[in-house]
Amino acid sequence: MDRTNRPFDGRLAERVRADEPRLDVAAVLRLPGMLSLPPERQRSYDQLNRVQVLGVDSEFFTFAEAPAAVALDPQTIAVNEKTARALEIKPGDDVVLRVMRPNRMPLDAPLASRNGQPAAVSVVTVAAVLTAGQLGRFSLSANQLEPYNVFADRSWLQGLAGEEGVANLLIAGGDVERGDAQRAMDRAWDLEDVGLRLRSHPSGVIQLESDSIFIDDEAVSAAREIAGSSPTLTYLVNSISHDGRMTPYSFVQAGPAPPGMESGEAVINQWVADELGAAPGDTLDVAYLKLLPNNTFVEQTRRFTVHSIASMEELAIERDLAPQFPGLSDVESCADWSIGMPMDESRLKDPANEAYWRKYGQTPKLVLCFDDARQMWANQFGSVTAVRFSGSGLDVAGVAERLRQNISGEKIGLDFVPVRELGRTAVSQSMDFGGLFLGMSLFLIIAALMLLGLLYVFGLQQRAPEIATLASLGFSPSRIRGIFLLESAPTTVAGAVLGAIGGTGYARLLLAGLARFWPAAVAGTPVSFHASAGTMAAGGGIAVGCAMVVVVAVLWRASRYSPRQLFATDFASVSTAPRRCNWLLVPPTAALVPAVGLSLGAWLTQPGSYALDFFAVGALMLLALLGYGWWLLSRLGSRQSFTRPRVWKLAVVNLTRRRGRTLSVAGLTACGCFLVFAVSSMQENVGLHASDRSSGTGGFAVFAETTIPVTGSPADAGATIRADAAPLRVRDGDDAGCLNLNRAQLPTVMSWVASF
Amino acid sequence: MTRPMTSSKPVVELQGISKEYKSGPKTILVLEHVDLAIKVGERLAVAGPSGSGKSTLLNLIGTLDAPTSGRVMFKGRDVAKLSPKDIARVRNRDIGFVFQQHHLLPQYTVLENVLIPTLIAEAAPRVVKRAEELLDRVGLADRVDHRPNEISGGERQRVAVVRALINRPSLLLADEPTGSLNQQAADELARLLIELNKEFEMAGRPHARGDCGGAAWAGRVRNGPDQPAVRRAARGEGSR
Ligand SMILES: Nc1ncnc2c1ncn2[C@@H]1O[C@H](COP(=O)(O)OP(=O)(O)O)[C@@H](O)[C@H]1O
Ligand SMILES: [Mg+2]
Repeated sequence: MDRTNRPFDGRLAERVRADEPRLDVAAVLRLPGMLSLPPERQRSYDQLNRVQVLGVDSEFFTFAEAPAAVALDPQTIAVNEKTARALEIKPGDDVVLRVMRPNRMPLDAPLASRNGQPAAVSVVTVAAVLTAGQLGRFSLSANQLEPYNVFADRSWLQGLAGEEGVANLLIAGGDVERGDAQRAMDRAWDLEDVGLRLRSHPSGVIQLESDSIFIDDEAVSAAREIAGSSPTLTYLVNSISHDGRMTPYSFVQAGPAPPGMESGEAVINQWVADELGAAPGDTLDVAYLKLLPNNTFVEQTRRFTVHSIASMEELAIERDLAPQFPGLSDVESCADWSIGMPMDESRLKDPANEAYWRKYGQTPKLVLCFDDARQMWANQFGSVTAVRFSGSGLDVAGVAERLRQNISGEKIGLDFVPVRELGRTAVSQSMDFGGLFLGMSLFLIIAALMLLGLLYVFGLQQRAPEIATLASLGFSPSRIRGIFLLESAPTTVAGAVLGAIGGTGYARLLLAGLARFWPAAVAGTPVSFHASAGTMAAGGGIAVGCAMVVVVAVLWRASRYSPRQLFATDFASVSTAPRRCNWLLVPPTAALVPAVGLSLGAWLTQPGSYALDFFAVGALMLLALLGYGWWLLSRLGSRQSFTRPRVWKLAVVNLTRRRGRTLSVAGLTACGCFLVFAVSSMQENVGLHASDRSSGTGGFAVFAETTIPVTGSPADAGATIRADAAPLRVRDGDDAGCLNLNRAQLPTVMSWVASF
Repeated sequence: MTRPMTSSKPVVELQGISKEYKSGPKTILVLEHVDLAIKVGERLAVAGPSGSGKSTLLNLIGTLDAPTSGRVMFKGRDVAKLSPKDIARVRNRDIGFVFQQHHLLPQYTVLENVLIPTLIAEAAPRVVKRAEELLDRVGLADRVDHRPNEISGGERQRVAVVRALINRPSLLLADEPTGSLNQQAADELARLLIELNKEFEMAGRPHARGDCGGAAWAGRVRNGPDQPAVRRAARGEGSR
């Protein structure tokens, strides 16, 4: 469950298991990370990015086929074989592990804390290398690629990441339907698990707040279903000014409006009224930063009319209920504020404001209507910073229960994803390389069968006098057939058996070589040899059958000739009588028309996959051209004359003497060429048109990916890599590109951050 | 010049046989309305220059080819109406054929070549003895284990004769059997054929060479003006 990295209390696993004992549940802290060699061992390929760091407990390994007897101590890790290979590390080696800290709020959300390092680093010792059976390949994505996996003790990793007790992934297994597991989850989760908390104020107000500053829309709408609820939005504005006087960096509170206040009006507190000299009816200019979809802030200003002045005592409750912003609420002085918005250092040092902060803290200077605030400050992360509940008979436990009932665990990110099912679906809808290779090899198979047939035809033609002798000695046609079949069968059967054994041996060798020396050729897919007696028998049987059919056909044809003809002539050469052979144009034309039609159709409709059309058109064209060749040879054959000998006439005579042989050789050559051209024409140099927007690269020559998110504007990111850059926000998922041979089930989503 | 016969019934009878070959746009008439009957014990030679249709005629008699028109009656049965199986049986039991080229199968020994026709007809032990006797009779007793390419042309032709006789045919056809042999070997073979014909009392139709020299051993030379086609062919008028 939870691909969104939402952290929750690791004990949720126990609560779910307690609710549904049949369920095996393990809590995992999964963090993106990097693994590198310590400086003294560094080489050019010393660092692995996009490492999946899994903080696990012993419960996790019970999911393994062959549970590893690995005790993960603090400061030690286990890696999978791929990681070990890539860094050439073995148990006992020291490596440097970097993990990204789990974040309850997006790093680039307004008001989000910028304090603290986004990543934590530690030198760890490799304790074990885990095989696939020991969950070394553990991956939640439907991709044949094995991730780089690092396994660490969960509580140690929690400590390293500075998030005690936190997990962000529950894996569940056991003899339980997904629905039952989800119901157990729905019963077991707490508001804290999804980063929500309730606070009660002595005045009787209960307030819902979120760890991620802005509350999920799902939670907001669940809260709004409870009677007596009202949303509030707290924001930090750059300045409030009136008549040339100004106070910087002020908290603004928007919520239930005082009776009679309308949109465009504001309540100011006594301190502001004194500081700015403003009275009801005066206008104020409020400057604030607005977050644009491209992650940049712009300063905007809006004018409000003072509706009334509130005393500081009246607003004391607002001070108490102001949401706690890390990096803001918890610092002594405004000068130490550090939040996800650009701030003017000199204004932060404004003495009057500093004094206000010391005396009144987060007490709002301005109170607006909620709708005005939402218009100005709603962004992709939400539009509500707290929901208040007031009314008789409300208590925290009651509200919590109502919220839990109203919030669907699935929508808020606490849903079990049937990864195995998704994986199965992905594989079942995967790229069918068998079909593709069969299409390719079809031409090879046809060529091989033609060769086989030719071999037998030639062999038998050579023995025409022998057939004639046997016939003249009183052997009936069926007896002659019997003799030749009896003679060919053992050789073809032996050949087929040898071919099957040799072929599988060669395939085995090829796969071993591919896996060992060139895994990139198969996109990292683990290739393994699989032979079934059935297919081998079928292959051999087809070869033997083909040979036998050829033998029978040739002998049947021979039996139509008298022994005299068999002695005298070579029965495969056709008569040179002039023929009305224009009807010979019909079959090849019948093959050409659909071939042209298919090509045109494919050109016009641009189907997703051309493979089938390609091979069908190829096969039809081959047939058509061979047919036209037959016609041409027939015409030439009937016109040969030696009145004026020319070398080319000799050639024509020889070509037309045995049209079957001529065309078989031509067909064989054509099959070979077709394969060579087909394979080489399907190669595409991606880099060639990389700067075209219409190419698969979208016009970008370079694609850089960071393990830990980079915040800031496109220009910032561009400055980092010294190029024009277009940042993308990525929601991790299955690779839908060509390196994933499976059908992506939950594809990676990249969203355009910049207006580029 | 017919020899005394045990039966006057013909072994083979040609009734109004014509044979033409098609070659490209042309049709070549080789035999026209040939009537011929060969009786048991009879020896007959057909003489004519090269290209006059001797081989054509022999192939028709030996059921190795079909006439364009007319009937070939073998022991009173119309060959054209026989099934492939029955024709095969006739070729095997009743006809022995000696070709101008020996047409021995190169992969088998002399003895095996001789025995091939018996694969269909008789039981083995007695046949082997008979083959060996026959080979001895033609002077090849010490050659039985050789392959055709290891013996001389005359010897090969003698093996072919033995092969033709192995199943005691009622008709022995020899198409210029001495054609590729030198004079001495040819004479020897001719003598052999005459002796064998006497010994085995069968209808024989040795085909003489174009200069009629070989026809000396034939009981009857068929070259009369009563056969217009043969005559025409002999004058080189076979084609039209
Ligand atoms: N397959 C054939 N096609 C066309 N003409 C043929 C063929 N075989 C033989 N002939 C012609 O028939 C004639 C008789 O040939 P053949 O019986 O072999 O003569 P012989 O054996 O008397 O020398 C010859 O003129 C020959 O050219
Ligand atoms: Mg001849």
